[in-house]
Amino acid sequence: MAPSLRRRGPLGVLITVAALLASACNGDTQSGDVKVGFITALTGPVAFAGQTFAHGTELAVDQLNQEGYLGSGRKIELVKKEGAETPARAVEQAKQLAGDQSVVGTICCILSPTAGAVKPITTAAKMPLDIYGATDLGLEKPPYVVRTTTMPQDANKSLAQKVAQQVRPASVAYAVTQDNSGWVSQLKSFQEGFAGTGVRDLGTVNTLAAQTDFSGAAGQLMAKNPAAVVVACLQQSSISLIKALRSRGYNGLIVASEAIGSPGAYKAAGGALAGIPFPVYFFAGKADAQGQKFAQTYKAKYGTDPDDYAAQGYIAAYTMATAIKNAGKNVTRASVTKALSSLKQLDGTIYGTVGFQNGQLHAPESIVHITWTKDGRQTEWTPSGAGKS
Amino acid sequence: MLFVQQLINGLALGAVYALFAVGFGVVFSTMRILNLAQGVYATWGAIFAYWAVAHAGLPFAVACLVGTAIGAVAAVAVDQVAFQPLRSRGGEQLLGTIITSVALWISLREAASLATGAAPLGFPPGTVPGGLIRFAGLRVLATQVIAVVCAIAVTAVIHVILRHTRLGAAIRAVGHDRGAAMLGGVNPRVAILTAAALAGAATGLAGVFYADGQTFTFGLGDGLLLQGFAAVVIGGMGDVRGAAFGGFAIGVVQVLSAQYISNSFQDAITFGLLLVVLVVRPRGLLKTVELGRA
Amino acid sequence: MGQQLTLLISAAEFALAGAVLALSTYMTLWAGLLSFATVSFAAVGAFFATHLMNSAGLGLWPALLVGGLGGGVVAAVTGLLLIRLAGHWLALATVALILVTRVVVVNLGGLTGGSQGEVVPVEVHLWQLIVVLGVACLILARLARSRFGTAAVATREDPTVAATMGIPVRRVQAVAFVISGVLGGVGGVLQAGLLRYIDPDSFYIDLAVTVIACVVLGGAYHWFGSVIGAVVFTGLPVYVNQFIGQGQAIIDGALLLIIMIWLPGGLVDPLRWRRLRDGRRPAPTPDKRREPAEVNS
Repeated sequence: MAPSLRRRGPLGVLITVAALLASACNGDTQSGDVKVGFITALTGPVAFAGQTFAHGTELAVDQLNQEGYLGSGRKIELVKKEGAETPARAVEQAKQLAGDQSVVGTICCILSPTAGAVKPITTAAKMPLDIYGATDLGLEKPPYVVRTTTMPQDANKSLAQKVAQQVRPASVAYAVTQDNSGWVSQLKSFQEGFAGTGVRDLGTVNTLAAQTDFSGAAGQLMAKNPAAVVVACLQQSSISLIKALRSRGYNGLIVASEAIGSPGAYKAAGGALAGIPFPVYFFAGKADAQGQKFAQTYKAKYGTDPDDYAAQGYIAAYTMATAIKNAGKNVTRASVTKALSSLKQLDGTIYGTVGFQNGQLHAPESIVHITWTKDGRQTEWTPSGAGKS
Repeated sequence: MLFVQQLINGLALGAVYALFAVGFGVVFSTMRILNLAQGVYATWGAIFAYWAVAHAGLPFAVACLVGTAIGAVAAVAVDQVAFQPLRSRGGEQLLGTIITSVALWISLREAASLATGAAPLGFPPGTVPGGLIRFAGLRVLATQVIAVVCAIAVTAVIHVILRHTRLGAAIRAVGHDRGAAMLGGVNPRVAILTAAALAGAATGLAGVFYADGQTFTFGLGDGLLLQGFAAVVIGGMGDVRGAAFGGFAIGVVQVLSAQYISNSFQDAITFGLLLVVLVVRPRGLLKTVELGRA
Repeated sequence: MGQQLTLLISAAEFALAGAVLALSTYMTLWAGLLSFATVSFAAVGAFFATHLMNSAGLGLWPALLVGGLGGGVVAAVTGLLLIRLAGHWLALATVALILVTRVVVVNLGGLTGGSQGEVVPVEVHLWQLIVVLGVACLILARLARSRFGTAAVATREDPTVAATMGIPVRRVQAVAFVISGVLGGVGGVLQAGLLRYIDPDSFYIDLAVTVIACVVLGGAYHWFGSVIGAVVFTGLPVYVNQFIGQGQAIIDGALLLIIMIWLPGGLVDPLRWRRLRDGRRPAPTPDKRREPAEVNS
């Protein structure tokens, strides 16, 4: 069930009036500020990941503003709108941002359906949109829609290839969140990685986004008796399924996606995640100077290490800021659109050097295969030790 | 063998639905309330049980009791806050109680979201009985056995209370006709509170068993509400045994349909069955005597 | 203040679409049927119309016709099966209907976009909403003064008595159900045009709960209550949303509870007005003339 019950009551009126008065007192924003819309997902089905994304984005804006990144005293002002990552709500927020001409660009969207819904709205308003988390293929559409999500498909494929070559499991079975196109495309990337390597494909077990009980799915998977299981599911589903498999005595290799990489995932799953390889683009242990700095400030501010989602939130804001900087003196939707869509390469980002192709960010060099240790740290995954047990 | 394995998984899942449905059925048949807040009793039961094992270091059995107690407390509190004012006003209450139960549903769920930081939670390893029973190629978790045994036991206890005790007679009398019950010397308030507490306790326990093998969030109760709702309608509301039967049936149907038909039709089958039962046999599949007629 | 204006218009738009949906639920309640089926009708109308907009390039007005027709047909079919259920059971059955509708939408991927949903190509504008709601209100006001209105109120009061008075109870309820279906379908198309993107969750329990709250809290004994309820409970949130973050649902819940307990008849409550008027001076009320037909004691 979607958790956003969109109802507010009369008390809201009082709050509205109070807030209006407050905003009237504040007056207009300073002329040096550039407004960027930010559709957040602090509540709703993916609230937990959404908060991490938002931390990354806010940290980036704070940091860049402090450094005077835009130059000539200009600063970025994030106009935050809570979209709860439900398409309807996010569209509503996008419409509001689109109606405010002083907002020169928008950062949005973790889930592919939300991105798909917001895209036509911002494009119709000729407002550049930077998608920060959605992973379905083909969402980017320059000049108006650019995506800085580091695509998990490339990373999954490389992990699958590594597993196939170095661990050489005899067979593999897959689990996927079937009713989410982003996860279906991640499944395909794993399958591509294993294709033609001699690892036998034992088939795929479908799960649903709203599913919570995985005893049946675990039973289905184990009945196939696979040497390895690939889990391409939403975060909560991934953890539940992995727990269900391990508690039933499945000792084979489990391969997962970036979804299990957040500290919250480890907290919820405990030791069950230990030794399971998953690919990430950002790993503090291997990042260069800029990435280290990001990891440190992040940890100082929020108390945990940044995960891939935090990094994606950061790079989205960083990219938008760079576009604004490149847009010249006259910062408008048109000039930012032009600057954003003509980005070819960024050096010295938290991922190192990243490239853009057709509005999609690529950072193949920064893919790292990591895993959780038993005591909840992340470490680089090596096929020899952690994989087999 | 796979069939038997999945049948067992289905029964274990069904045990959770059964517990929930028993609670839902008790409230619906005695008070005529379509209580949409019921799911959050399970959510809060699960959250407190999680806190009990993860932070207070209590054993799992105690956590189950904590979850049960929290469910009962929540149910009584919701009843007093949301339903009692309307009840005391008299007249038709179904519409009003739907609204007030929605009010408590969204408030308590938001509170759960704030209390957990919307983070996924999971019982830490070692805090849940981790035994695995291997028998003739089958694998059954200790927690699955516990859930099934508890579901049957709780159903039996509530059935005995309702059918074979003075208090139970009072509860049924209130469900049938409050005025007549008062004339017969029954304190309707005690009867109603007992019914609410029993329903909440079963629901809270359902929440704990639902949560112990998976990761859960503050939205746990919402899924349970819909499945439990289907279970109670299919099994019949008049008798807790019917509700429990409905719960087990839905669990089995869900797991087996995912295995042998298609995962995406799982809900179609459950809810389609629900609609058919409502149209063809609105009193539920098991022919039972109604506690009270609307 | 440009942004505030955009917001206000947006809030008004959602309020108007919500009002059409609320009127759909009011229709059934009027004839004594507690039904959540409005959401199913809306889903059918919205997905049907959106599919035709995308594939056949339908404009808004024909889409509204198609949506209303779709909702009406589904209401006729389901009404045939469900109306005979007694009060509580009908409520349960219509909740089940919403669940089933969602499953159908998810599994008819070719027509509905499946779980991914689909983009709605046609936008709805404020004036169009005003026109549609205006027509709907006219029809309901007209119905309220008709023999149907009187029969519906009698049915709601006591079906048995109504039947002995010669009122064809089942037929009145069936007509109310079909009108509810048409309004629901039209409301669904409007909602889709506002959302610009619909998926199976766009028409689910959330919306059902919101709509029933609009009707009950607005005042379930006069059609105008549904309109007021929709303004308060679907329009305002869109506007107020910007100021409030977490914890909002707790305030929402408390408000629902307070209104339900202290204003049991809702914001528009003809009975309370009459009591007030009888108690003091005869204050004119908007629905003075039609009132006797609608008062419920």
